[in-house]
Amino acid sequence: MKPAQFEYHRPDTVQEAVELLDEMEHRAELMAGNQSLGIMLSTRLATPENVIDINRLDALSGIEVADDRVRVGAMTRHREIERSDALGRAVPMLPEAAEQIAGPAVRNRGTFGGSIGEADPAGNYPCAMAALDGTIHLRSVDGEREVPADEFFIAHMFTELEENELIVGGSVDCSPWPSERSGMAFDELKRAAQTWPTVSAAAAVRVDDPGAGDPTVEEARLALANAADVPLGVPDAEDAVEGEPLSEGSLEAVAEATMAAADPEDEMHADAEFKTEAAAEYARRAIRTAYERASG
Amino acid sequence: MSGSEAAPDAEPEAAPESESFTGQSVRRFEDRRILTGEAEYIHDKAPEGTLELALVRSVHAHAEIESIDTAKAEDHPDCELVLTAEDLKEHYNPQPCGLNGFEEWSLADGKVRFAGEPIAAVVARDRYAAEDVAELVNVRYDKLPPVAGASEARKDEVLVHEDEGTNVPDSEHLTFGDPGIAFEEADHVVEGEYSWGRVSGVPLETAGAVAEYDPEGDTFHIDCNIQLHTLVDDTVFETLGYDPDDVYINVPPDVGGSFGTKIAIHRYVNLVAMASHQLGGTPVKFVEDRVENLQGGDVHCSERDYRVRLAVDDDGTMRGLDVFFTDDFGAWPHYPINQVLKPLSVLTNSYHIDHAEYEYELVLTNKTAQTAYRGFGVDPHHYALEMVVDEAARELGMDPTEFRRQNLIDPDQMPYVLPSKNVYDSGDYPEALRRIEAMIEDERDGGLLDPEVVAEKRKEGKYRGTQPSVVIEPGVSGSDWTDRQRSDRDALADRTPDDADELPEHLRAEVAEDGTVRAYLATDSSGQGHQTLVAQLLADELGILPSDVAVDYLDSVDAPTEYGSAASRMAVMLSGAAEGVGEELRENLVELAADYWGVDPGDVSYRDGGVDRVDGDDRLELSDLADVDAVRLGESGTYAEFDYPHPARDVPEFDEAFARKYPVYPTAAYGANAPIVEVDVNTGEVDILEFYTVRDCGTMLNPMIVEGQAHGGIAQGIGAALMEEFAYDDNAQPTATTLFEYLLPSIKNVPDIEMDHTVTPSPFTETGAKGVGEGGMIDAPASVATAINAALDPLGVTADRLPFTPDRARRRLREAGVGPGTDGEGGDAVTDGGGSGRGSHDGRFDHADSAGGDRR
Amino acid sequence: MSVDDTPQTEPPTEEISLTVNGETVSAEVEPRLKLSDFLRREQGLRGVRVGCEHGVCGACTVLVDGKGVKSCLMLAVQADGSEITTVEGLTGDGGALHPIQEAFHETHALQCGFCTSGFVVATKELLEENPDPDRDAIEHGLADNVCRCTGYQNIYEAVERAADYADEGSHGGGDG
Repeated sequence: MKPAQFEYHRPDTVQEAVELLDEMEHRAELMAGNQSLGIMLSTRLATPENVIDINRLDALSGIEVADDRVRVGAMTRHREIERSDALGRAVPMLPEAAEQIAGPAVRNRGTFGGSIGEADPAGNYPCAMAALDGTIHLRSVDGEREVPADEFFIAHMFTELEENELIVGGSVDCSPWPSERSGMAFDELKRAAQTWPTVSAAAAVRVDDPGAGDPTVEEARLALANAADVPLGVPDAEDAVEGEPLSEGSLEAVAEATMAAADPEDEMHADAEFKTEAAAEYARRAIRTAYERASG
Repeated sequence: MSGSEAAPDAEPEAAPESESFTGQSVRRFEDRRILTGEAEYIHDKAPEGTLELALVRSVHAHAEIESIDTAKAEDHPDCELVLTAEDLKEHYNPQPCGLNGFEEWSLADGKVRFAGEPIAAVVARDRYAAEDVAELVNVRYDKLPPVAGASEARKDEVLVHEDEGTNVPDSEHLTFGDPGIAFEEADHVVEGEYSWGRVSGVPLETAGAVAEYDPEGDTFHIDCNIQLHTLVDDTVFETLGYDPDDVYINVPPDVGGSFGTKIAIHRYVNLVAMASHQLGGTPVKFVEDRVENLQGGDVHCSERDYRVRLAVDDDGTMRGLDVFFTDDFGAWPHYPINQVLKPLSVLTNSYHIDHAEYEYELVLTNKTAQTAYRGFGVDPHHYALEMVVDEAARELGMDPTEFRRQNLIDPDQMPYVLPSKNVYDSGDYPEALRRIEAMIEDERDGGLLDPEVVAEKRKEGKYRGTQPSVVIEPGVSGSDWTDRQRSDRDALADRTPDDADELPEHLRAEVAEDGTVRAYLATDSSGQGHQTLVAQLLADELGILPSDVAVDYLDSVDAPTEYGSAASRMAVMLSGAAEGVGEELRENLVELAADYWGVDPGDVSYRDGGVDRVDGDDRLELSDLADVDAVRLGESGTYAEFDYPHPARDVPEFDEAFARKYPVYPTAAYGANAPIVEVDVNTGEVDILEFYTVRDCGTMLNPMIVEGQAHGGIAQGIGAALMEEFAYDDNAQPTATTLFEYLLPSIKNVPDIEMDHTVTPSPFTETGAKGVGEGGMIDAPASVATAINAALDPLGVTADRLPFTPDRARRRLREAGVGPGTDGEGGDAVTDGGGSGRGSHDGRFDHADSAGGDRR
Repeated sequence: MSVDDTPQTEPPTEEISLTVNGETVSAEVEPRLKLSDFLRREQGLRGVRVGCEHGVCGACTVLVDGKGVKSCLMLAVQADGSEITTVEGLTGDGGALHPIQEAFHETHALQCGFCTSGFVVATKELLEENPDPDRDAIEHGLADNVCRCTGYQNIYEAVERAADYADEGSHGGGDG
């Protein structure tokens, strides 16, 4: 398990990085946290001629929370996301998603942008970004562009990203989610710390009046990971809970809508039927938890 | 001989306030070098100029090899050597197999029989370059239909080995007592089918070997982490075509775990030896990588489908047992293969049953071969037996614990001769059951199993339960029976016990110049703490401190052929060997001192690290005796060696087992477990909330080490019960080739283990100790499975297939009409459960190149 | 997906300079060289154990600028300019065991020892961030390390004991 030879490039600026990318096109692989790429290199499933290491691009690292917008730089490590109080207040789903990734050593290296770019259907951030209607920010020599998360993920590990583009970050409009009457949850079925989740559910709920006994759901968002080849939003589930207090009946509708929407692949110890069921159950749980959190 | 200093280590808890070190939790001498990073494992060995080897492995499970083009590889500037079967056949021999008649070359010869089978070996300056070269070897295949499972293999439509003519090269049907009548007369015959997934030890350290051929002496010097290096060295020297004395196999003092698995790493050992030979003596190293280890390392273990029948009467008396199973051995019946027979040593577990049938079929398929793994085939047996016991209790409408209690072997029956002729030495099983019930009593009253809590949890869809049982761990295997499958079975009826040939345990000790004692083990170790154990034992024998005993290891040439560290043997065998060598050494020292003083040996006596004159006038300390010996001619007076004979040889009750080559295991350690499980019926997830266990391994030589062994064994048992499996798809492609798929229990998966001990010494061993190395792995899977049965009893679902993964749990629950979305109020789902209707496949794993979500 | 048919004779190399257990080290390395292999092979730090090379087992965990990292998933060239600490760097003058090492010894938190360096290093990071971790925090902090021998029971004990030693500002038991 030793990588094949490659040329190594370590740009110091984002501009330098996109220029390198532009020059090399498909002959280069970007190296972020290297927690997945490193495995692909080791097994020689990836044998790029060039590796562009973007770990020294400090400009891509960091979390900004300003006005109603949260922005996470592509090279922000899971650990920083997990521990960010500002994120915890504004978009608690992201720290909750981050802290469930592997263990601390992987989280010390793994990055937000790497996960988005890998677009593994089981990935936590793609799912969270889809649930939150997030935006992915891309840059190339031609400039920056923004792609909504639900358009970014096209198929299994396949995205809108062009060969000469670099993910510079992601952003979320948190104006729909005032913290005093919103709740979020990221919940995953994972059999051991070291493996990836079988399914995950990301939910956000805003209620009208958290002080009321059974506040009405004003808005709900739900997305699932590994229930399809891309992060799976379930609008029917959202519709089912909006406009009334959460009830066992509407949760049942969430589960049914999720079952109907899910289209997962078979895996060892998790065939499509099981994953569909588990997705429905986790959808139900995530919505319930988000509602409970919104209701204070 | 590999050195390792026993570092002096103050042991406050082990200060000699009591008269012996044996029995105390003496901290380990092995720890310091490991904790500081100084320990030298096989991966660390690299003599000057070492080259590294990499393998080209088959991508197909079953195929003819049309051609192997090595030209491009040989042209690579870093390439030092390329080997294929053609080269091997010119110079060497096939590897000895577990069954006669199989010709296995270390590299595939003409045909590949499992995905990952090595086809070519390349050697280069380092592993990076070797992999570069390996990529240039071009193999053309002509694909054959693969045999992906035992049930398919038994049809013999596609043969893994055409010459053999069948995929079932070994089977046996044994009858003990009169099971025909028992099954005919019993009020009930209960039957169940149970599956045990392919699991293995998966030690953190993979296989490794460094070989250096010496052209002058025409000898091989091989460092490697093979297990049982004095026993299975024939898999190396015979393959090389050399005498045993010309092939020095040396195992480092520190091996990063084996659990039985590394018994079968000879393929790698052979290849580095051949490579060094072909290169004229340049050292060649191979370190298996993890994917190789999981996919094609020849180190999987039992994959069994059981059909078990139990004959019971209305009053709950167990009258007969009938066990049939197939075991999927993969492509080659590598030594060892007697894991299919070992369950005979505990055929009826802790229950008194007089009549039994036992039948197995050893099945070959297109998977990597089996080796040994902790438990060695007993773990699935206990699982299947405890499952059918649960099934019978349900059918009889009896409380499963009472049903068990009623049939336990009574202490009065000890030593107890099993129908299969092995003998349980001692034990109070009813007491063990009482103890474990007492341990969980609090949980039933205000704790995890309080009826109110249980009812409350069920409303959330979480079903809790536990099921106490007593499970036996056979220890201290004899060696003679282990070749039963290579013997003429028809001739066994005429054998006498004296025809059995047992291997003793060898131990040496000598006094060093400074008066410390150096001991030499003929076994190898892989984390069990043998150096500490021998230091304790010899300290007591010689009246010195454990820190004054350094323990080293012998290589395969220096050591006699002996069984070694497997089958829960060492506590007992080393106890006996230490006692024997201690006595010899004391006698020699007494003679030495008497000779020095010119007195009769009767006038001197050994005491606490020295020899006294009985008249009280003089004393020679060990260091003095070393000085005396150094200037003396003739045989050393400060050296002794001893071969401790197998303890069952002196016990007439074992005569029949010896004569008939039935498994001989003279110690029966046991555990009574009660894991408290919680099954989330909506997701199929099983959580073990607390693992209660009472264990008895006779005298504990080092309680700290005993507990550590049990902890680790239980964790592995939990893995086998819930998580681990080497699954294959319909094309016999392995779907667990990384540790993302082969799930080792992480710290989040292993619950608190609450452990208590009883001590029932063995009457058959020197110190009263029993073998303990495999406990936990032997008993925990059965206990976890039956606890799940208890939890899901209201829903009529059982854990009839291990690992009981969430998807399997959900499949069973779905079949029983449960949820998802079950809140426990409905109670809509009661069927009569049981072990039939198992799905044949788990769904194909689309082994995409997914590497784990957000890790990047 | 294979390397060129005409193999490169001169592999590309990069100059790196870093601090390893307090010593400054310079080397010329192939970019593909893993940090784990660099530390083991070039620096002789065999306490960096390699158990899986795909970031699961954690045996190769080292501290890079104080943070735990799986050295099989980092390239040596990436460590340019970093400070690396391995288990060898914890051992004090004259071979004195670090309180964490001592605690692992005293509680029998190791058997075969192959995972131990990684656990000791991960424990160091854990205790630096949380000097008094409860069982949940220990579970969370050691979730990137796999042990096949101990069932983790005594590892909990070891971490708790090491935390106590840190509280006491010294460590008892043993001669260190």
